[in-house]
Amino acid sequence: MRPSSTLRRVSTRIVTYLLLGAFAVTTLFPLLWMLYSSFKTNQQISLSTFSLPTELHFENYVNAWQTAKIGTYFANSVFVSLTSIVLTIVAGASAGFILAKFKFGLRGFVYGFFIVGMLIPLQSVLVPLFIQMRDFKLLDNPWSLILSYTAFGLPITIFLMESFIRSFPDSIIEAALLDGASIRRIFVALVLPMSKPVVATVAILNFLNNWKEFSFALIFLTRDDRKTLPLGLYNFLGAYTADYAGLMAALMIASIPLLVLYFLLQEQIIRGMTAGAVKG
Amino acid sequence: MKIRMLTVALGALVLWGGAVSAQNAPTVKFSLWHSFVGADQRAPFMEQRMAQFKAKYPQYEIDEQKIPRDQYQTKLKTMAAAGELPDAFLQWPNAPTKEFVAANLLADINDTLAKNKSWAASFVPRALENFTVNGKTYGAGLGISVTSILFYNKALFDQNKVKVPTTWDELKTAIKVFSAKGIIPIALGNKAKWPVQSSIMSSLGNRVTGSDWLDNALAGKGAKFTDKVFIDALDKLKELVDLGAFNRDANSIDEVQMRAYYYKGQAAMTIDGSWILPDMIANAPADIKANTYLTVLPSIPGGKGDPQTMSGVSSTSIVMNAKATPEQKKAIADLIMFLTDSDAQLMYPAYNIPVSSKTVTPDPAKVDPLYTKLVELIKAHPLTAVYDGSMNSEQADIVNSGLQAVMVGVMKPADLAAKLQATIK
Amino acid sequence: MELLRRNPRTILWGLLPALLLYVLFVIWPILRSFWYGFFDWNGLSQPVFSGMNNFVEIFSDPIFWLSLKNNLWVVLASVFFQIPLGLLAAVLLNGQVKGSKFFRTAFFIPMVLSTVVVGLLWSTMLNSQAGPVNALIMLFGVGLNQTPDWLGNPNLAIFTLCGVIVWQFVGLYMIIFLAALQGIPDELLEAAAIDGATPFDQMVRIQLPMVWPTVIASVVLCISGSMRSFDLIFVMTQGGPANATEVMATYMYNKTFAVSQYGYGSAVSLVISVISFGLILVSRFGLSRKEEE
Repeated sequence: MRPSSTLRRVSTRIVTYLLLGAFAVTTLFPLLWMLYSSFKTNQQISLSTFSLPTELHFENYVNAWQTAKIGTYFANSVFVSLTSIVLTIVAGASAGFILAKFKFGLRGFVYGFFIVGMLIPLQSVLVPLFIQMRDFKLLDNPWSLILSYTAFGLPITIFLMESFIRSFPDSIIEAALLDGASIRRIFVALVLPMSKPVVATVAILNFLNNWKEFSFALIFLTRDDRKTLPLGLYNFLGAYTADYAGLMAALMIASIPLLVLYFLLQEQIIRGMTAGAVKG
Repeated sequence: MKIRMLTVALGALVLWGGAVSAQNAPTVKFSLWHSFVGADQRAPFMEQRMAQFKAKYPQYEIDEQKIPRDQYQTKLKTMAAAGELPDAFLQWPNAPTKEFVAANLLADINDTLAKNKSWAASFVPRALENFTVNGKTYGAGLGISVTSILFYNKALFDQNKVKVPTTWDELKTAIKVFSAKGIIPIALGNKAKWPVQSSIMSSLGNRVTGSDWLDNALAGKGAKFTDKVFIDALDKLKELVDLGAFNRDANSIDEVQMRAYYYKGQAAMTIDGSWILPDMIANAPADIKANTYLTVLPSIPGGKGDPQTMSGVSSTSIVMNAKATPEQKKAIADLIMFLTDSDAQLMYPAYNIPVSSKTVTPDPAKVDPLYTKLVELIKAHPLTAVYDGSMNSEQADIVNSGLQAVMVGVMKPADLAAKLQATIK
Repeated sequence: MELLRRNPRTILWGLLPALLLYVLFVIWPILRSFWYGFFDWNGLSQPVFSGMNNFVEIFSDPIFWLSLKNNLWVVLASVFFQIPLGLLAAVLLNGQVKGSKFFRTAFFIPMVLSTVVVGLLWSTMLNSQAGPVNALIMLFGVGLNQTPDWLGNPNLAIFTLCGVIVWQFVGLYMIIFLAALQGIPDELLEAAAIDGATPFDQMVRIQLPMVWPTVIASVVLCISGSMRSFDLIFVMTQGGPANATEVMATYMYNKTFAVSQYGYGSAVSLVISVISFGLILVSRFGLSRKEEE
C-alpha cells in the first residue's frame, strides 16, 4: 500500500466528514431552535429571534396543549395516519409487485395511470372531493381522510415498491414457483420480507405526509372531536398576530411521533437482506 | 276492572306526555362559523359574549365552529362552491359581501333594522354602509378598523431633534435624518401585499386625489385610473421608497416581523391599522409603549383631499344564509344585535376592539393608554375609503400586486394605472 | 418471466384494491376538477360554460409564463441537486461511516419539520435587513445595502427558494436510495474493492446502475412534486415580491381562492398536470435509453 494513497484516503475522509457535518449543522439547528424557542415568551421571540431563553417557560406547553386541543386531536391523527399507511402498503405493495414482475399489455398504461394522481395540486380537488364525501355521507368521519390519504399515497408507494421489486432476481421467484408455491404465497412469504427496506421507507413517507396534511382535514372535518393535529396548530396563527411560543411548543409535541417512527423504522431500512436469499 | 285501570293508566300517560312536551319550548337550531379563535384578539370576547347569548336565549341551539383566520376563507369558499354554507357566518365588508349578494346567498336585515331603531341609529354609518348593497343591509360591523394610523416613537424624535411630520416636506426631512443615523424611518412588512395598499396608499392616494375621484373611477364616470392625479399619488409612494423610508426587507417580511423593528426601538415610525393594538399592548416593551403616539399621515402639497382624514372600514359581521328558515333568521338577527348592541360595545375596549357605536364611550381609566389614544384619534379624524373595500377582488389583487411591483421597481405607475383602468367596463 | 405472463386473474386481484381506491378518490375528483376548467365560475353563482376561454386567458397572461419559468427552475434545481445529493448521502451513510446513524437522522429532520417553521427560520436567517447570514457577510467589509437581498431581489429570490427546497428534500431521496442500496449484495462491492476499485468507482460502476430503476422513479416523483411546489414558497414569499417567485401552484391558488375565479384556477390545474406529464415522459424517455445501455 503506497503511502500517498493512504494520505489521499484519509484526506478524502476528513473532507467527507466536514461536508456531512456542515450539512448536519444546518438541519439540526432548526430543530434545536424550535426547542429552545418553545421555552421563551412571544415578546422575547419577537425582540431577539435567536437568543437562548433566560428562564424556561414551561407554561407554553400547557397552553399549547389546550389551545391546540392536543389531547383529542393527537389520538385522531394517530388513528387516521396509521390506518392509512397500513391500507396504502397493502394495496400499494401488491400493485407494485404485479407491475414489476408481470408482463401484460396494459402494464405501461396502468403505470402511467398512477402517475396522473401525482400531478395535480391538492387544492384543486378540494371541492370535488368534498362533494363526493358529502354524497358518500363520510363528512366529519375519519374515514373520509383515511380513504383520501390512502388513495393519494398510492402513486408514490407503487412507484417505490415497483422499482425495488423490479431489481429482484427473477431466479428466486422462478425457483419458488417450480417448488409449487402459489403466487400469493410468494408475495407474502418471499417478496414482502425481502422488501422490508422499501416498505419501511414507504411507511415513513406516508405517515409523514398524512400526519402533516391539513387541506383535506380542514375541509372534511368540522366537529371538534374529529379534528386532526394540523388543524389545531393553526390556532396559533391569527390574522394579525402570531403566538409563536405556543406554536413552537405545539410543534415539538407534534413532531415526536414522527421522530419516534423514523428511529424505529430506520433500522428496518438498513438491516437489508442479510438472511440472504440473495447469497449464493 | 282491568279496562278501568287501563283507562286510568292511559290517561296518566297522556297527561304526563303533555306535561313533558309543554316543558320543551320549540328550539331553533342554527350553525354559526367564525374565525375568532386562538391568537385572534376577539376570541375571548366572542367566548364570553356567546356564553351570555346562550344564557339569554336558551331556546336557541347553536352549532358554533371556530376556524382560524388563514383557513377560514378557504373553507368558506369551498363550502360555497359545494353549496353547503352554514346558516350564519362571519363575512367581510364590501367586496366579499357584494359577491355573495350577487350570487343570492345572503338574507338582508332591513326588517331588523327597522324594528330596532335605536340599535340601528347607534352605529357609525360605515358599520352599516359597508354591508349595504342596493339599499339592503346584510350585516352590522363588530367594530371599526382604522387602517392608516401613523405610530411614532416620540423619544426617538426628541433625541434626534426631528419634528413629528404633519407635511410632506417634514416627512422627507424626518426620513433623511433617521436614515443617516441608521434608524429605520418607517417600518413596513408588505409580504402579504395588502398592507401597503390598505395602510399607506388608501390614505396617501386620498390626500392627492380627494374622495370623489375613487368612486368616480370605479364607476367609470368622470374619472379614470389613468388620470394624472392617481399617477401622481403612485409617484409619491415610489418617492418614499427611493428616499429610503422603509426597511430594506419591506416586501419580504410580514406584519409581525415589521413590528419587531418598532418594538426594538430600531424604527421611528410604523404605519399600520388599529388591529395592531392588542399585539402592541401585550408585546411592546414598556418604554416603547409609553413613548408611542398616534397620528394621521402628513398632508400633501397641492393635494385635493382633506389632510385630516384616515382610511378605515367596518370590521367583520355575522351574516345570514338566504336559505335559513324564518325562525333561524330571527335567531341570527338576535345574535347580530347581541354582538353589537351597547352592552357588547362596552365590552370591546377590554379587548382593544375599536367600537362601531356612536353612543358608547369607553372609560379611559379602565383601558390601556394606547387604546385611549386610538379613541381620541378616531373622534378627531373622519374616515375615508380603503381601496380594497371599494374594489372587487380582481381589482384588489391587481392593485396589491401592482403596488409591490412599483415599490420594487419592476412596474411603472402608468402601467399599474392602465391595468386597473382595463377592469372598468 | 414466462410463468407469470398469462395470469389475468392474479393480475386483476393484485391491482384491484389499489385501482379501486385510486379511481374513486383520485381520478374521479381530478376529472371533475378538470371539467370546471371549461367553465366561467366564481365558486358562488352558477357556472357558465365558456369552452376554451380560460385557457386562452391563461396563455396570454404574462404572470402565468413567469410562474411557469420559475417552476422550471424549481424542477431543474430539484432534479439535479436533490437526487444526486440524496444518492451521495445514501452511499456515504450506508452503514460504513462512523456516526452514519446520527447523520442519517440529522439529514432527515427537514422532512419532519413543519413548513411554517422551516419558512420562518430561513426567512429570518436570510433577512436582508437584520439576518445573521448577511451579518456574517458584512464582517468581510460589505456594506448593508450591498449584501444580497436573498428574498427581496426579484432576480435572486427564486434561486434562494430553490436552495431551501433542495435543503428540505435531500433527506427524502436519501432514505429512498438507502432502501434501494440494500438490494445490492455486499460481496459485489467487496470483490470490486479487492480488484482495486475506489469507492467512487464502486458507486458509479456498480451501485448506480443497480439502483437505476429507483433513480427513474425518483425523477418522476421529483418532477411531479416540484411542479406542485406550494407550501414553502407560500410561507416564505407568497409568490412575491411582485410575482418574482410565483410558481404555478401559487398562481392557481391565488386565482381560485383569493380572486374567486374558480373555473380559471381549475383550468390552471389542468395545464399544470399536462405540462408535468410531458416533462415526465421526456425524462423517462431519456433515462430509459440509458438503462438499456
